[in-house]
This record gives sequence, C-alpha cells and structure tokens, in this order.
Amino acid sequence: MGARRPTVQSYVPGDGWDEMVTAGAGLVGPEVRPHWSALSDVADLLGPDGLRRRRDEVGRMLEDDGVTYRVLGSDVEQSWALDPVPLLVEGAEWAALEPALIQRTELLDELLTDLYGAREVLRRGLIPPEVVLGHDGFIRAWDQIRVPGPRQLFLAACDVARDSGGVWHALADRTQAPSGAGYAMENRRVVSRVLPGLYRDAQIHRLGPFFHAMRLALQEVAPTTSEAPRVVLLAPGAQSETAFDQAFLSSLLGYPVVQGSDLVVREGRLWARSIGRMEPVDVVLRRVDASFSDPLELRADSQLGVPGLVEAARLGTVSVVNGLGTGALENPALLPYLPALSKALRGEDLLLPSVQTWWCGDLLGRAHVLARLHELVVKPTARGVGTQSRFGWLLSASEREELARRIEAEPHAWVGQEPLALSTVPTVGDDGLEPRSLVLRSFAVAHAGSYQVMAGGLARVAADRDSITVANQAGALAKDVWVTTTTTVVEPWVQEGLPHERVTAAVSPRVAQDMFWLGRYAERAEDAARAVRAVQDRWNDFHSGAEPAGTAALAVLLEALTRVTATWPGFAGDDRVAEARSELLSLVVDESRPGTVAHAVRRLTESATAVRDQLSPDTWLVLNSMDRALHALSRRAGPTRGTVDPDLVGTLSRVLEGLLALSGLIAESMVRDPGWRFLDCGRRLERAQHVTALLATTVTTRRDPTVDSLVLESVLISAESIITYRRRYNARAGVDTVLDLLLVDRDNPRSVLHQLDRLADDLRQVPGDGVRREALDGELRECIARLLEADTGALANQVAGDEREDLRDFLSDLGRQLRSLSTAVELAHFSARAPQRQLDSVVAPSDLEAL
Amino acid sequence: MSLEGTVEPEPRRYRLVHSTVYTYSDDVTSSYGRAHLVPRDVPGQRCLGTQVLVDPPPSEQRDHVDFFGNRSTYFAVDRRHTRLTVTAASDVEVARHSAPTALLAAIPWEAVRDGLYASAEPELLDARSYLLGSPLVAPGAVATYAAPTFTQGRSIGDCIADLLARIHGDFTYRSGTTTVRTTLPEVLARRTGVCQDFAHLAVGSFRSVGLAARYVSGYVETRPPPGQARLEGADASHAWASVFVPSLGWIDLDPTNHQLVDDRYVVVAWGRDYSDVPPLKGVIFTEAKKSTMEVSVDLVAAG
Repeated sequence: MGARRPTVQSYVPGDGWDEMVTAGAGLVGPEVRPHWSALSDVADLLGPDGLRRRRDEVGRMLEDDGVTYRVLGSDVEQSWALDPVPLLVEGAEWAALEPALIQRTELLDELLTDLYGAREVLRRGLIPPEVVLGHDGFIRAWDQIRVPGPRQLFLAACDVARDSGGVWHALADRTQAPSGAGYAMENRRVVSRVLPGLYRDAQIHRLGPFFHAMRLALQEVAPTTSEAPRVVLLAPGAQSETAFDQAFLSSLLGYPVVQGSDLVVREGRLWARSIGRMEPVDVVLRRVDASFSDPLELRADSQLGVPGLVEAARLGTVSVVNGLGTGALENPALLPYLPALSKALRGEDLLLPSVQTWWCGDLLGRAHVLARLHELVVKPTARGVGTQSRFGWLLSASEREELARRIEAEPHAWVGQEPLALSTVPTVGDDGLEPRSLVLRSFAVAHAGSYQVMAGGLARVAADRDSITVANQAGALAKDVWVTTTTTVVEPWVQEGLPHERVTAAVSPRVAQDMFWLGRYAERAEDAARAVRAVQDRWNDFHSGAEPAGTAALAVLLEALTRVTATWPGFAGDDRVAEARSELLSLVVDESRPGTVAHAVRRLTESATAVRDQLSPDTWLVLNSMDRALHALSRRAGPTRGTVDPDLVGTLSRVLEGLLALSGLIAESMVRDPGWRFLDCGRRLERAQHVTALLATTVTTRRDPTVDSLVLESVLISAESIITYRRRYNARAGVDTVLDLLLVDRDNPRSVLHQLDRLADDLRQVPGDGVRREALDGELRECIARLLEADTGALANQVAGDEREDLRDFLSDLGRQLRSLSTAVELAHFSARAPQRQLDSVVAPSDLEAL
Repeated sequence: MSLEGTVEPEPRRYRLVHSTVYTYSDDVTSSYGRAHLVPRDVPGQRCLGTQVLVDPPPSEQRDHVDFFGNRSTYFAVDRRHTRLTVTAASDVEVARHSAPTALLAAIPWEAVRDGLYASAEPELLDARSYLLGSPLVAPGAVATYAAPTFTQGRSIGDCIADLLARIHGDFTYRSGTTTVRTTLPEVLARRTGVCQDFAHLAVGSFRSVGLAARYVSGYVETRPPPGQARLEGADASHAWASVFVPSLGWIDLDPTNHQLVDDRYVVVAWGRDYSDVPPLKGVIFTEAKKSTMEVSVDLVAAG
C-alpha cells in the first residue's frame, strides 16, 4: 500500500467503503489501494489547483464536443458534467463482476422470452402474475413477437453499487432502451486527453470492443432473409434528453440516426424515406420509448413512432431491438423473485445480488414495508414521471401516513428497498479531492449467443458530498471507468469480422431539409458579418461628418444594411434609429432578433444539432468558439450597450474565422452525399439572394461619383470581391463592371451566376423526379438563361432621373426568381408527409334504452 | 359446481353487419387501422363465418389472435382516399345458458374474492390479472361509489343485482355526452354516459373490492317498440362488464340495460377496458381538417 501524500492525505473518505483508500483499523490509518497508487501520485503532483484546472479543461472539452444532456421536461440543454478523476476497478474484481453481470442478463433474457411467449413463470407460480401484468412496461401488443436469434434482450444496462462491505449489488435493471454507452465513450475520450500521461501508462481495458460487438450483434439479429442488413438508430430527435448519446452511438456504430417521420411501413415491412427512393430497413436500434414507438398500437398521440411497426415486427420482416416489451424487466417488483427464478430456470445461484426488495403486493412484503417505512426506500414499480423514490427517513410523519395509504390502496404498485450504503470515490471538489457516492451503470449486448459486457461502463457520482441520490436529473457528475489489466491491451485498427458492406447513407427529406437550412444559416451568418464589418469600417471613417461624400455614402450603406438584413426600422424608413453604434452592435449580438449575426449563428447551431450524426465532431468546436465570441462581446457591451467600445470588428473577425473554418470542414471533411448537396444548395441560394439584395439596395440609384465610388467599394468588400475587382479593372469602380463581377462572372465564386451553376450541379447529383422536380429544373434553367442574356452595360447605363430603372426591375425580378427557386427546392425534395392524426373511434350512440 | 347436464338451449342464429364510414374534407394519403370486429368463439357462441372488408382495397390486411385471445385485424391503405369504409359481416350462432342465479345467490361476495387465491389453476391466475387497474379504469376511482353495494356477507348475486339497479337509477344514458377518452371521475360527476362508461363503472366497482372484472365488447339485438318496424342499422356496438366467480366462471352483466347477458347478446372481444378492444382505431396521414364518421350495425336474427 502506498504512502499518502498531501492531496490524498487530506482526502477524508465517508464511513462506508471507499474506492481509493482502505478503512483504517486501530493504529493503522487508511491506505491507498494498490490499483489507485499511480492515480494518487498524479493527484498529489497536481494538487488542488491542478485538479481544478483539469476539471475546467474537461468542461471546455465537453463544450467543444457539444456534449449535452437535457433535463426531462426542460427546453435547456445542459453541458454534460464529468469529473476528471476516473473510477479505477481492479482487473481481478472485474473478472468476478463480469460473469455475474452476464449471468443476470441471461436470466433476464430468459424471463423476457417467457413473458412474451408461454408465460410459464406465471403459470408455475415463480412470479405472481400481478407483478408482471400490473406493470406498465409489460406491453400486451408485443405478445408472441420475437426477434431472430437466441436472445430477446438485446441491450441491457444495470445500475450497480456497493454496500458498506464493498459487495456489488444491482440497484436497478435498465432494459427499456438504455442510454449512456455513448456518454461512456465520450468520457473516455475526454479523460484520456486531460490525463494523457496517466492514460498512456495505465494498463486498462478499451471500450472499442463493446461497440464492435454491438455492431456485429445488430447484424446478427437481422431477419434471416436479408443479406446485407440495413440498420438504423430510431431516436426521438434533437429534443431528446440524451440526443448526444444517440448521435454519438450512431457514429460509433456507423448506422444512421432516423426519426419516426423518416420511416414508413409498407407491404408488410419497414422502409426509410430517402431522397428519391425508399430504402428497406432490417434492424431498428430503438431509442424511442416503447409506448411512443407505434401510434397505431400504443400511445395514439405519439408523433415519434411509426404506425405499423409492431405489425412488421410481428411478421418478422424487421427486428426491433430492444423490443417494445423489454421495459417489463425494469420492474423492481421482480427483484425479490430473481434468486428463485435463477434456480428454477438455470439451476444456478444468482451471482449478483439485488438490493434487498419487498413487493407490497405480497402480504408479508407489504407488512414488512409498512412496519419499516421510516427506514426503507419506497418506490412505485411503474416507470416515468412522478415515480421517483421516497426515502422513508426523510419523510414527515404525515407524509409517511399518506404513503402508507397509497400503498394500501394499490399494494401491487409499490416496493420497499433496503437502502444501500453506496461506496465513495474521490472526486475533484473546490479544495482537492472529496468523497462522493457512486453508482456504476454497466452495459451488456447480446452477441454470439451470450452477452458482451462493456469493460467498465458509465459511473456517476452524487452532485455534492452529502447527497445520497445519484441521478442526472439531480445534477450527478459522470466518471470514466478504468478497468485495470495485467496484460497489454492492443486494439486492432481494422476490426475483424465486419461484413464489407457499403451502406449508402440514406438521407431522409427531414435530414435534407435540415442540411439545406444549415447551409443557408452558415451563409447568412457570414453575409451579415461581412456586411456589418464593411459598414462599421465606413462608419469609423466618416461618422464625424467632416467629409460630405463620406457622410452621404455612409447613409446609403447604413440603409442598405437594414434592407439586406431585413432588420427594419433600423437605418431605413421614417422611424430610423438615431444611434448608429448601438444599432450596429445589435445587428451583431442580439440573438433573438432575426437578421442579426447572432441570430443566424444560433439557427446554424440548431440546424447542426438536428443533424449531429452527419457532421464532423469538430463542428462543435467551431460553433462554440463563435458563440463564445458573441457572448463575450455582449457582456463587454453591458446591458445598456453604453460607452466602452466593445470591439465590434474584432468580434466579427472571430466569427468570420469560425465560419471560414466551418466552410473548410464542409468542403474538406464531408462526403459528397445528397446531404452535402442540399447543404450546398442552401448556401448557394442564400448567397445569390444576398448579393442580389446587396446590389438592389446600393447601385440602382446614381449618385455623385465620389459617393458612388465609396459605396461600390464597400459593396465589393462586403461581397468579398474587392481584390479581384482591383486586379481585373484597375480603375475607379463603375456600376457596369461591378455588375459583371457580381452578377454574371461564372468564375467568381461570389457571383450570382456562379451560385446558380453550383446549384444546378448539386441538383444533378441528387436523385429525384416528378413534376415538382421538373418545375424546379425548369425554373433554374430559366434563371440561368436570364443572367446569361443580361446586358450589364445597358443595365448600368440606362438612367431615368437618377434611377437605374431597368436595373432595379431586373434585380427585383431576379430576387423574386431566387425566392421562387428556394420554394421549388423545398417542394421537390423536402415535402413532408401529411400530418399524422388519429382515426377517432367511438362506441356509436344509439337508443339502446328503448330495449 | 358444473352446469353440464342441463338442457342445451335452442341456438339462435344472427347475421351481423357492422359498417363504419369515414369521410374526410381532404385527401388522406395513407391509413393504418386495427379492428376488433370479429366475434370470438366462446362457450355458448360460435362464429360460423366472417369477413372484414376495407375500401379502398387495403395493400395489407391480416388477422392475429391478441393477448386476450381476441381476433384482431390489421389493415393499411396506401392509396389516396377521402372516404374509408370498414365493414365486418359475420354469421353467429348463440346458445347461451342463462346465468346460474340460484348459485350466485348462495355465495357471499367475500368468498368470491378469496376464492381467487384458492389455487394456482390457470383460470384463476388469468382471472387475477383482471383485478388490477387499467388505462381507463384507474384503481380506486369508483371505490366510494361501489362501497354501499358490497355489504358484509351479501351474496355475489345480490351484489350484481344491486349494482345493476344502482347504475341504472343513478345514471342517465345520453349519447354524445362522453368520448372514448372520458374518465370515470368525469362520468361520476356528470351522472350521464354511454354503454362503455357504465361498463367501466361496473368493472371498476368490482375491482375496487378485490373482484376480478373485465370489459366486454359486442352487440345486443334491439327490438322495436310494439307495432313499429325494426329500423335498419339502428343497432350499435355495445359494451358490458363481466365478473369472475370461481367455479362458475365469468358472469356477464349489462349495466346499460339493467340485466344479465343472455342469448340476445353477441360477444366480440374482451380486455381490461375499452382501450384493449376498440372496435376500430387507426392512424391517418392527411391535411384534412374535418372528418365525419357514420356507423351502422345490423344484428338480425337469421332463420
């Protein structure tokens, strides 16, 4: 046992079992357990300050990776909270725990198979029928439905914790649609980067094999008729509590995330709606709650499911894992019966004990629970809202009476549990390491006839040192779990045994639409940022009013800025704002105001969140850096947007850096699949519309040549074409040459015609037919032809009074055409299915009383 | 106690046609439906033949036997339509024994309750699953209402008769006052309802004192007032309750019509409550804002 040094020396564990240090006895003080010695050395080396810095670093990395968790019922995403100190589990101990977890999962699987099959366990009296049939996780619509292969329970999680003697107990089985495997992998990614030296030297089991097994397992459960099974991960969408977990798991497995609206049951099987076609789906990894998965059979008001899914599963044309019935195993009232069940079904003792539980539906159990209400944990057997545990010792006398009444009224719906001490584990607090209560979620996936367990899992510790509940909803922190090993772990680069499938990425109309708007908002943010920056520069030069031409040009540009960003009244119209500086600031930072840079960035982030599984993880790094820059500016400006120059241009530069980095990621890191094409379509249309609007608000009026020259220069800067212009024309800016460059120059990546060429190219690469697509192609051809025929010289030189009327009409027509094109793209490719409704049914009224 | 050896009643034959027509104000692109419209075979009732016709012709239609042993029909229509018709036609033979009223009058209700735990016979285990609350019959919702019926030592027969009389006296049948989502507390407050509400009320009353009760969906033959012709399609789908009495089996009672179920009734399906066995439910995809539904049922004695 290692000697304890300052940081670890001052660590005072709780009364129970501590993961890092032994309990002292007599004259022998607490000592560091051997498998923690390397980590405790590092902790000592870092000291409280170093540990806190690691904690902050973890926070930043999670933010950069966009790792979030949504508290149930809240519309705010929270950052995933992770402690830098991993939980260390000794290899020898794990070697005993792992088979116990496998045995338990196999037993639960056998129980599940029976409950939706012969129900022998009920018939033989091994489990009272009320336990099973009275639980809301038992789905009658799933009766007699099986997935191929020997195991009906595909993915199981089990929350385990230690008693005061250090013995692991199962607290709860999570079998409905367990979450957390993706978070576990992310925890590893972050902690290994924050403690690189320790990680490099540690001999620990890797997590990769678990995901590799899951990938194979998903292929194994496919209906036997499919040769190259298509697998999808069915998720509730970006609003889900664990949307990050779903998207990250999908990327680890290489199977796409879909939503209920992307799927349809036809001809007795499941299909994914894809651009231009339907793709058969063989396996669904389900992350939508069972009761929401099929509105025909279960919750009729669910918009997250697929009507007919249960019927297709019954036919065996699609394998849904976990099946809709697996929630029956989460019932805590099953726990008292598992030991006998293990004996009866397997002839084995249950290796992993459950926390001691009494079911109140049993007369003795109820009597026991009611007599010890003040010292037990009492919980409803049902899942969901309002079903949290009650801690008897925290209840007042009247609360206990009320609880007793509820138990008496519906005894089968309640259990009482002996509280488990829970072990403590060192966690970074403000003054170094402090002990926090620990719960470990293990994961097991059905593979090759049995189960493969993730080495480690997802550890969670209480929100503070005095807390006894460990739940994300109560602010728990996550921990990485390192299972030590004495043998060297080599993870092969190329994993053996995977079928060499090449699954074309299905892009559903929903994903296509989100990608389209992702492209649009990325471009909108960039256009707004460039426009504000160009105008801000002019304002810096001319706002003093000393130069008449400059002042006039500034007025033109300010008004144009309001018009192109559609942020009325702004600098246009009768109620124009007096204070230019605060309006310019608002155009950058006001994220609730449409047309501003911050608003576009926010929408960009939302679009990215909706298609998280399509994007490079680095996307979040970029999006977060822009968000930070904008918020910092907002803070510096203060609530009154007062006197201090908040460095608008510097912030805009940082935002532009981010947007350019994003463009780089999109250009260099994304496969040119239909999703990318639609992203590009969005960007092209947005840019074409912006340039058209920019010209329409600046060059349709003839002004004093000095004023016009300043205006045109700003237009060219804003359209990122000033360098080209100067190189090519080598003269004072003129409207005709500006039009040449910005409207019809096919080689200028900022010109309108260039955008339309790219749009045409994108559309050629996406499948599609039908009258709406033909209409779109027709409109696009017409628009391109119009630009090709445009006589820019004539448009620039025709002037009536001081108005270039032909040019104004031309640009206004072009703007209309571009808006129409955008609508045509949406109609041809994103047309959503019609809204889903319930076919209402009533027992028909009649005059039966006449009988 | 067995009823074997008693005289077989004369069978009655019925031709049953149940038709539901939905019309929508706009195109429906696809419809998915599930129906419980095929009468199941039960002691005293045989389904001689049946057909469920969906129009427009569905791309899929198939039956399976559900968790409760009912025939359940799935269909999917994936062509555009503004009108959907589901018609079930069945020929049923009913020869139901009348309820053993003398025996029911001899058993205290507490004995019925305790008898559920007498053994682990499959029939008892199955019955015990109907003790629990269910989606539309929340546990305890009607305990206060039910209490006066179940006085100490009263026979189960008297309890049934009393419950039938009380529901008939306390509640007014009024169509259109409730929907499929009306809850029992609402029915209790309003004192009006339709057959499914009264069936739920009876089911909940039995369960509240520890008796096993289920919900039965079916039809009852209606007879015109004397001197008037029978109106076509005037019948309707109907619902009632059933309570389990060990050794006698399930006793069906119709609280809407204040009587025990006899051979004028045709059983279609049963479950814990309405939500397990709606005659027809479905999901449609449409921009339509309005829809109407027309139901016609004919239960005609044949031959």
